[in-house]
Amino acid sequence: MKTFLAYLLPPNWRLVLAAFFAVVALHICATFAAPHLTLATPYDRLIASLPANAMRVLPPVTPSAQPLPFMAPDARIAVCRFDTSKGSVALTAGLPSPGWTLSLYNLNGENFYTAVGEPGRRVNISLVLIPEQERFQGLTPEARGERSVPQSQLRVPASRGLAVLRATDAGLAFRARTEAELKRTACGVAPS
Amino acid sequence: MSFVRHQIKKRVASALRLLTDWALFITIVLIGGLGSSWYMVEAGNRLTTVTVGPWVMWKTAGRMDADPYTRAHFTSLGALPISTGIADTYLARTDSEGNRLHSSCDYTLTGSPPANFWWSVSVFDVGGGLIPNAADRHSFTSDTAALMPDGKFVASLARSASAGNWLPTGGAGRLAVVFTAIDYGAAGTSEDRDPTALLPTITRGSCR
Repeated sequence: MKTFLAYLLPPNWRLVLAAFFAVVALHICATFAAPHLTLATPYDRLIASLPANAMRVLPPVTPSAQPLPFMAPDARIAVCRFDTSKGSVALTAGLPSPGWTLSLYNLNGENFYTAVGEPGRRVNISLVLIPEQERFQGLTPEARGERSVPQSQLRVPASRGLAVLRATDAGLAFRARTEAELKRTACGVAPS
Repeated sequence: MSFVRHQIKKRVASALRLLTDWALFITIVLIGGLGSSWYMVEAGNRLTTVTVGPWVMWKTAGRMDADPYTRAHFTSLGALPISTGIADTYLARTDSEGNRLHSSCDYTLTGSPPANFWWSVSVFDVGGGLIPNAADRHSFTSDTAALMPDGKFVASLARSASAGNWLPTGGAGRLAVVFTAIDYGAAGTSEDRDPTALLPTITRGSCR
């Protein structure tokens, strides 16, 4: 032991300092690289079966049909893979009960918009997702001499992403109502 | 002659020293750099997670302002988390005494979640897969769970059927339990909520 310690001491302080900085640099690089080294992100896994700019009600989550890990059958899910690269996308959804949520995610699974159902009142959402880059989106309804539909415009920080409507499972008696509500949700290219 | 031998010995010793220094350097850098990054991404620490007993929640899950560890954690997990701006999602891989959850044991979850939350409890295998079972039961929510007369929620995780809120776990091996709570009273961020009031305890029963 003494011989071993005698071999190590005195330490090469320049090498110790270099090791410390190299550890920190490798830690930072590995952490930032980790999301890019994953074979399939949640977005990649979900888009395989989804058409662009159309709402799709996913089948109930079961052990044999579980799109993502840790996705539980405590909610039914409708997903729209939005793509604003060719124009704005209109999204309408209703949140009739507490626990219902509408979330918009970018390609990295980061949530940039969320709406939640409230007790005692229905929350209706009507959004137009417009790309961040300034671009002519066509004439407004007023300019065309038409009545405008009240819609909130949401400038999305990603040209592609997912709109996910989670409808909570309220039990067997409510499943038909939940299904009908999910099918009423719409996602499509906004009329210009 | 002995002088030359002494010189050679000295040079060999110096080369060996240099070689072992660099081997040590590379080993420390790889283990320290990659190991610490892996640990922070897999388990997190106080800066990135909230830990209450066996339950762990990533503070900025699913948010645009998520830190790099949280981003890497959920990308590697492959899950699409609900933003912590509206929901608290806790994951437990151990019981309240710190023993790993395993399908060879029975567990009882006991809690009294406040009324102004929608919540759900779901059980998965260690990789996040649902556990196949004949009853097709995988989760209970505040809408579907049977509550005790005093408002408490009691669920059992067990291989064999039991009365009440039973979640089958047979044949899954190591388990993971997810508790999700969505605040619909005064939607705030996760920092505003008291997690200890929400979360059930996980008590181990008999093991086979």
